[in-house]
Formats: sequence, structure tokens, C-alpha cells
Amino acid sequence: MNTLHLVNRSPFATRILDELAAAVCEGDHVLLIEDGVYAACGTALSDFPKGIKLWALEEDCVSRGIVPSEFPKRVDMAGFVDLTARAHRCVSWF
Amino acid sequence: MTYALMVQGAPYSQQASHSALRFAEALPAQGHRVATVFFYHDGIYNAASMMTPPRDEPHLLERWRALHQTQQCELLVCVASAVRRGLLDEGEARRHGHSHPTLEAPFELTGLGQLMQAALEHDRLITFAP
Amino acid sequence: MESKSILVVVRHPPHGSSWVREGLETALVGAALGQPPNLLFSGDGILALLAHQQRGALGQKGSAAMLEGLSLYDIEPLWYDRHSLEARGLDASQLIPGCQQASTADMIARHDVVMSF
Repeated sequence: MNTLHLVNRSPFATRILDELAAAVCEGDHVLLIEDGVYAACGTALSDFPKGIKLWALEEDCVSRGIVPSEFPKRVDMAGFVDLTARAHRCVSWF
Repeated sequence: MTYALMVQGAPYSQQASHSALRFAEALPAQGHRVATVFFYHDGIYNAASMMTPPRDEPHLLERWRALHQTQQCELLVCVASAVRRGLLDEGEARRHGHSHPTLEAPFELTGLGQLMQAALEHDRLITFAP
Repeated sequence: MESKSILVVVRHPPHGSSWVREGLETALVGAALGQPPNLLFSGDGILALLAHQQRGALGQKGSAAMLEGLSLYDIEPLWYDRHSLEARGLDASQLIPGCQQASTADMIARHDVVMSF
């Protein structure tokens, strides 16, 4: 009964990731989309709770020139759809 | 599965409309379908019938119409948000003394009850925010 | 109608935007359909619960007045995220009556559908 959290804001502009960190449950997934993918930069995610699966939307990384790395894992649009289908509910953070 | 999408971002100002369209267009390949798109907040501007983007940019209104065609989804626009912001269908335009409607089928002006109904009826609700 | 539980989360402050009004209107419509959702104020959303607010620049009919009317529609209590309150140096005595503390994580996990504003 996990949740998919969608984040579309840069962590350098808002405190959404801090708020989200306090609102996730073990087994939840977080998908970074749009400006949310900037969380893949620097140490923005280093304090994020363990036990949460982190994803970044491939096409939003590519358009922004975010260099591929292993973390967070990339998903394409089909993968985005799949994450929503597997989660019990989706919550958007903006 | 059937999906309801809530689109809250304005077209050409934020990425929300693009993200919602890209997501909705990817549903059938995974065996799903978007059944309802509900436009709320500044998302209502996605229904502006006189939307005229430059030719080399995506035409969001046409993309929504195509989505309606291919997936038979309803395109519902929150009436309270829309009328406040100047998007009126023929009936509302006449009622408020305007000569032209600014919103046309397949977009429909509806109340928030339809959003609730969609959230309850469909398998997933995904919000695309500004 | 199917019996899914709905949570409306308000995460934006009042006055600067229409999110609070739109979230409250959504909750009210749910109640009118016989499905009163739970209403949670989290992040800056808890600022909508501060007592002694006035009408704002947006001419919103005072979200404060709307909030006071929610109990008539069985939308009660008004849940707020405890951490968000503390992070802003506030305490529960500064909120309007009818508020009750909750954890955002628990609230999300307990509902089928979450609508964010």
C-alpha cells in the first residue's frame, strides 16, 4: 500500500524535499520530474531517508543537461506510468 | 486501469500541461487509459479556444483534442475557476452578455463534483501542478 | 458511489494565492456528495489556520470564514501537521478552534486518494 510522490520543484528553491522527507513511509517511491530533477545535483538527496526508492524522469534530465549517474535511477515515460500503476496512491508536491 | 488527471498549471507558462499530455499519451502502451482530465486553478487556460501558438511550437489545444479523440477522455474545466478568469462557453457567454465564447467542445465546463466523481470512479488520480 | 477515502492536503499559505480556497472548495463539494474528505494542513498550509486573519488582497471571502463553516459539513477536525507548526515557531494555542494534530505520513498512508493544493 505504498505511495508514489511526485516532486516538480528544484530543491534549491523550496524546502519541499525536507517536508517530503518527514512525510514518506518505508517502501514509498519518489519520482523527480520537471525542475525536481535538479535534486540529482550536488548533495540535495544525501540526507533523504533510506528505504525510499528515488527515481528521476529521463526526459527531464536530458532536456536540462543533467549528466547521467546511477543515483537516482532514471525512468522513461513508460516507467513513470508503471510507477503510478504499482503505487496505491500518488501525491504531488509543489 | 483508468486514470483521472488533474491539471493545475497554465499552458506555455509551466511544464505541467506538457507533462500531463506526455503522461496521458503514454498510458495506452501500458494497457491503461485516461478517462478524465480535470482542469483546475490556472490549468483552465489549457481550454482557451483561441490559443494560437507560433507554428514551430507544440499546439497544446490540438494535443488535448487529439487525446480526447484517441482515448475518448472527458476534458472537464472547473466552471468557477474558468468563468472568473474569462473562459466561457456559449451558454455562459450569452448569460454574461459577451458576444463570443472562449471555450468550446470537447472541453466542458463542470463543477468540482465531477472532479470528486472522477477521483472516486477511476483507478488513479495524478495531479500535474505548476 | 464507491467508498474510497479522500484526503485533501493544503500546503500553501492563505492570501498569496488561491490554493487554500480551491482546496477548501474541493473538500466542501466532497462533503456535499456525502463523502466528506479529511482535510490536512501541512507545510505553509498550516498558516491558513492562524487565528485573527482578515480578508485578503485577492478578495477571497476570507478563507478564515470558510474554515469556520466546515464543521457544518462534517469536515472536522481540521488536521494540522505538528512538525510544520513547530518549524514556524507556532503553537496550537495560536490556531482557530477545531484543529487537531496529525502526522502527514500517517494521514497519506490512511487514504486511497490524495488531492494536493
